[in-house]
Amino acid sequence: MSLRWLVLLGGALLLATPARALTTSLTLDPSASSLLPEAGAAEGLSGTLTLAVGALPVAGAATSFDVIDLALTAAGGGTIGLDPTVGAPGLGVLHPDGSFLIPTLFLRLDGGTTVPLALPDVMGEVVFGPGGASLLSLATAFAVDAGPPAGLVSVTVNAVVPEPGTLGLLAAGLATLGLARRQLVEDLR
Amino acid sequence: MTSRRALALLALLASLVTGATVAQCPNGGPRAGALVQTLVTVPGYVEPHTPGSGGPLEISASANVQSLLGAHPDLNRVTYLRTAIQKPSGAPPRAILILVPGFLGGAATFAPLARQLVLAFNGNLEVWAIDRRPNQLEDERGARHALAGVMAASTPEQIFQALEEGARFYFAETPALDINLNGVVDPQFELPDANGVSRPWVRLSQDDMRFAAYWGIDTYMRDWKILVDQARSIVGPHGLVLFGGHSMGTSWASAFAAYDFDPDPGHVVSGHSLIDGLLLLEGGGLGAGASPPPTHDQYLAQVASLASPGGPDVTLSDFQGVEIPALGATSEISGIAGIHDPDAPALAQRTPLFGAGLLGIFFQAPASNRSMVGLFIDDDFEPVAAFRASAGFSSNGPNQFVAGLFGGPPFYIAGPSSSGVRTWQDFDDPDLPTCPPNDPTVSPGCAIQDLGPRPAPTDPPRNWGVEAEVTSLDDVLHVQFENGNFVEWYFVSGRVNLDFSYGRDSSALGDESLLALTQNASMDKPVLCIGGSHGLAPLESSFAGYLGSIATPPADQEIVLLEGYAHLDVILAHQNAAVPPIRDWVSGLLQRKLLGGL
Repeated sequence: MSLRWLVLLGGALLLATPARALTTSLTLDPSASSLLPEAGAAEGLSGTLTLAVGALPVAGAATSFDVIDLALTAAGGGTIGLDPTVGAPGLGVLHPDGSFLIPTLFLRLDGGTTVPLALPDVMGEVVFGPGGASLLSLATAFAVDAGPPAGLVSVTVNAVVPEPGTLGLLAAGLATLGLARRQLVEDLR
Repeated sequence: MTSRRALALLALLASLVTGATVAQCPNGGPRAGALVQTLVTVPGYVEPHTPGSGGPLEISASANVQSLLGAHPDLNRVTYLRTAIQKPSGAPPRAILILVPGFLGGAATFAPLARQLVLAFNGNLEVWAIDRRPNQLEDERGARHALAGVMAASTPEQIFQALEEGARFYFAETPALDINLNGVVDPQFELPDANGVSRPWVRLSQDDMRFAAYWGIDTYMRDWKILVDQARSIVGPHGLVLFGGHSMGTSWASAFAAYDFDPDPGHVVSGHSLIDGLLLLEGGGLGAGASPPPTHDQYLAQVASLASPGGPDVTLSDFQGVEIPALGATSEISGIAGIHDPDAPALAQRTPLFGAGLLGIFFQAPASNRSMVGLFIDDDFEPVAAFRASAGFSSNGPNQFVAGLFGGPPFYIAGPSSSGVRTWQDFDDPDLPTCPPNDPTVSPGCAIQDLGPRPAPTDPPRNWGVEAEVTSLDDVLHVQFENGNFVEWYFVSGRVNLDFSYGRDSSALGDESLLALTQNASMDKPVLCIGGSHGLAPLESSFAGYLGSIATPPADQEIVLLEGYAHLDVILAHQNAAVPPIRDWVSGLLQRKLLGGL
């Protein structure tokens, strides 16, 4: 299969897929998601988040991108969720290039005491599935000034859609890497 | 056969799926920067008759105005109270809400609400509360002297002295009003004016302010357009500029939306095209106006009359017998006294305003500095609904029930306490009296009363629901003298009343160089209305007239009613129930704006 053929096929799929609203849940990759305090050790972060996307594939400038559920737990026991007092705490926009912006993400942190927290300008990226009709993963990072003793806490979130297609793509990627490595080794020999 | 380029592409895709990286920038946090409230003054609209305009029409500043502001004052300035949190990233806010105070209100009236809103957005929203032009003519030397004195004082005697000097700066003692309690009728206290001359309070007369004949809606709108333009330059085309007001400020705010800033009748630059939404707090927006409205000739004649020495009042001298400048001065001193000498006998009761006259009758019971302000502003004791907040109660003495005054709601007159001065129970006191079991007409009456079920949305407005005690007296005291102040001492009424007589549409005047309220019918931006069930806008019907006059679709007309809130609670409440609906409204509008839907 040539690269040109792949590109043409992808473009055809994109054109053929009607835009539709999508609700999708993602699961954090604990090995790539963390809380990193300015002072102290990093903690792994696990959990899920659910997105409601206005229309996929994204046509035009942008579409709505809303975090409608968030349940994250740090290894130390602290939790991060959406602020339940806010009507729509995770309203944002998703651009055709996969970048998203949540102007203000209203969170509730619970680490023994509950703290409402509005995070301005949360930005990140998603990876679209075939034809742009689905989401495969999300990555974002932000920092929270928690004050002493933790100081600035860097939060990294990498989440994937745990679907067979995603797993298959992941396997394909890994297999391809392996194949490339084997070819490289053979070439060197 | 798979090419190497295809292999590399798939590998990259796989790596993205398993964990892309995003640059980290500090976003915010509970301690992500101090909230600041700052009075900002910028050049305003150059109204040509106003001192400082520099043109041939300029009316020279009177000696009194020069005493306040120096030899060459420029009154074409616009001031606002900016409430903000600097984002850690240094990025600008995504939304700015500009608010206009209500009748007799200064910018500080919005200080508590602004703090809560800005904190709710952690700096992504700023609030700019407008101080109308006449605020720059308030002689605050006495209040500043008192505040500086109490801040520097180390003994109770020094605090007392600073406060009484501040009060004597504004008011002359009489044999019956011994402000400093020394048994002697002392002269007024003097402080250096802008020219270095020691003088007591420079209280402006009507003839000192004849230039205010030209401070009508047009001048104010053009002042505020400067702020709107500035806000837009900060948030950018994808950010929000929201405009709003409280009480009579809703009329001003809706007038801004309805204004045509281009005097060419053939071209329109509407106020609503410059903003992204309108917020009406405890007020129903622009009314219908007089019928018939003044003709062009009548309008010009009235302006000429207002501008003439000895002509009709250009500013409101008194409201229901209460002299407004004196109320402003007393409120500043009372706020400082309430914070810094709360338990001492009320200084205000030794001033002409509260020690004699109508207010002397209502507030005859000896009170403390703190409880005096409570008795004046609390919804159980204040006769005027427009000046009411739910700040607690006083029950250490008899409370005489009064069914109402000037057509207003019932209230109590506090009688002398047998145990000394009347004291104050704060809004969060668990022992505030309630009706039932108390009888509202029998002393001590009650702080919390149920006015019955919510009427139908289309019923005529009337108060309903269980009274909420939500406003901190300490907050009320602070806003009397901080961040500007609470009272607008010189409320321009002459030209403004003339302009408001056209209601929502001044087309009948036929002269857009004078007044250009011509775009109300095309106003189509989202509107959020918030009323208090114990206030002046207690029902959906309170907003119906205005909402029915504009082009905003029903889906973008939102009304929230806060049960038990009095008129001022909507802006003063300590944990304000108006914040969540405003936050949700702003958040939703911001998404729509980013999506190009506004």
